[in-house]
Amino acid sequence: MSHNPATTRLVPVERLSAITSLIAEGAVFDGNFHSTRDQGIKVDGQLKGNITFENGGTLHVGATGVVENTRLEADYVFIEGKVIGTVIARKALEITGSATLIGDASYDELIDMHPRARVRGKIEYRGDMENAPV
Amino acid sequence: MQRSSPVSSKKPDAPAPVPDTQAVLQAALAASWQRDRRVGQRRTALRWLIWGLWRCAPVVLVFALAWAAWRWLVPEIHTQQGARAQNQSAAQHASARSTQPENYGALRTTASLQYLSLKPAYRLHSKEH
Repeated sequence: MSHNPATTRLVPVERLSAITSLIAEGAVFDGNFHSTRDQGIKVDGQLKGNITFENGGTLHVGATGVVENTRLEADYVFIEGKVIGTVIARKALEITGSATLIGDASYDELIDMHPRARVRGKIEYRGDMENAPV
Repeated sequence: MQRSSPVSSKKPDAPAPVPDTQAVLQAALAASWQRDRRVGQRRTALRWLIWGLWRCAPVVLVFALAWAAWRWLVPEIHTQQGARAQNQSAAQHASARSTQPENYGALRTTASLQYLSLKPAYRLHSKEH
């Protein structure tokens, strides 16, 4: 059995390994997920609702995961499945080639998007562009 | 002799060991990552394949049409060439026959018959009947 998480470019492996909650494949979760602590959640099933991490937080939408009608907010967001809604990544946003994002996404520091990723929406950098050195 | 029942001889069960939560979580995550990798690679490869097919669609279409035309035309050419070859061989046979007497055997037979049916006056020996 493989003990390495999916190959990531921006999201640290330690963050993915430290995920504390899991919505398994085939499960349907209807409601909001909220945490004030630096935790993580992985969605392999279906989730209808918001996911918010006030401090830190890692969100991993697996290849089989579907998140609908949502507003996702966390430090690290790693999308391999399908997301319909708004995504806010305070540190890094990574969208793989198997991902589908329908909605706007914003990030503060880093973004990585695979050429085969399907995105329909606006990608916005939330950092300070006027005072940036370059 | 009384037999002791298996229930009475059995020791009380020890409490089942409680699995470590972290171990269970890590095992679930590892299985999930493995499935993610498999599904993700398959989906990405399929997207690349569809993109490539759409990109190469005109070329593939041209080649397919050319191949269909070739398949359609080649039997026609082969039939025409076959018919022409048959005609040529028939003509060659006919010309070869024209150079040789057609009833060569029959001529030989009639000649021998003529010899046999010679009149007695023309025979070399008059005693012959």
